[in-house]
Amino acid sequence: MIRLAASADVHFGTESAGTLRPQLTDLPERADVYVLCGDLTRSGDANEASILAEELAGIEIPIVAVLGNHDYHSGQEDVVRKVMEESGVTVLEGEATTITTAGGRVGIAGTKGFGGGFAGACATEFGEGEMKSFIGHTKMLSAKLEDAINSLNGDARVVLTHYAPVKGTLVGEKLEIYPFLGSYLLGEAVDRAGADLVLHGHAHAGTEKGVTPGGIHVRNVALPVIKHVYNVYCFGGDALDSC
Amino acid sequence: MDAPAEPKHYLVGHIREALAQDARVNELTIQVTIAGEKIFLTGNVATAERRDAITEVVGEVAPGYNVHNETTVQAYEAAPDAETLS
Ligand SMILES: [Fe+2]
Ligand SMILES: [Fe+2]
Repeated sequence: MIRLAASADVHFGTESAGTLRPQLTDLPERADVYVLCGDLTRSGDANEASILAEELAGIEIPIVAVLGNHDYHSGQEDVVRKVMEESGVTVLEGEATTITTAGGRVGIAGTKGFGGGFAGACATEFGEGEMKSFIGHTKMLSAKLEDAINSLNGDARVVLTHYAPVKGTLVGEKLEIYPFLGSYLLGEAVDRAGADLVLHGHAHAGTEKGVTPGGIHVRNVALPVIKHVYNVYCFGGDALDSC
Repeated sequence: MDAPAEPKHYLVGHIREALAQDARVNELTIQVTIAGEKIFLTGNVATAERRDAITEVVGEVAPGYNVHNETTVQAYEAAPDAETLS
C-alpha cells in the first residue's frame, strides 16, 4: 500500500515562516510521499519560495509539487521552480517521476493545468487570438500531461494538477467562475491515459471528493477544503489493508 | 457624509481586483459585501499580516466606508484525515 500525503494552496508569503513546519513533524510516519498541488507562494516571488523551501527542508520523505497560478504572478515561475528544486522538491510541468516506497512504486505525473470550463459549458478555441491562446494553453498542457501519464510505470499512477479536471470537486464555488477553475480537457487526458488518483487545488470553496467521467478518483486538496494541514490517501495495496 | 457616489456593483469589482493585485495581499477569494456605508469582508486568509493588510487596502480603495474585516486566519488540524481508496 502506498500512503500519499497531499495538500494545495499554502500561498506562502515572506511572513509565513514557521506556520507549516511545526505541523509536519510526524509526516514521515504517516505517509511515504508528500505532494503539493500548486499555489505554493502568495505572488510567485523567489523570496516566498525560499521561505517555503526552508520550511520543507529536512522532511525525510520525497516531496513532489506542481505550480499554481499564484506562482506565475510575478513572471518568475522558473525561479520559483528552481528554488524548490534546489531544496529537493521535485516540480512537475508536463513531466513525470517515479518514487519507490515500502508499499510499491508510485508514478506521479503533473501539470499546473489551466481553465476553460467543462463539457457543455466551456470556452472554445474560436474567434479572437486571446480566446484561442486561452484554450490553446489548456490544450497544450493537457496533451503534455497525457504523454507524461503514459510514460509512467509503477504499481500506482497519480496525477497532480492545480486547476480542476472535473466540476464535481468545484461544488460550493460560484458557477460563473467554473471556466476559471478548471477544464474538462485535463480530465479527458487523465481518463485516456488512465490513473488511480488525481489531486488538485485552486478551488478554495470547492468540495474534496469527485470522480472523472471515466471513474478515476479526484480529490480537491486545497487547504480551505480539506481543513487539515494535509490529508493522507492510501491505495494500490491489499484490499484488506487500510490507512 | 453622503454615501460615496461610485455604484456599489462596480466598487465590489474594484475592491476584489485590488485585493488580488496589491502586493500586500494577493488574495482572490475574499467575499465583498457592501451594505450602506459598510463594507463586509469574509473568507479565509493565510496569515494575520495578510488579514491586516486587507483592511488597509480596502480603506485605500474605498475611502469613506466603514470596513468590517471579518476574514479568518486559516488554522488547520494537524492530524490528517486518512482515506483508503478502492
Ligand atoms: Fe490558491
Ligand atoms: Fe490557484
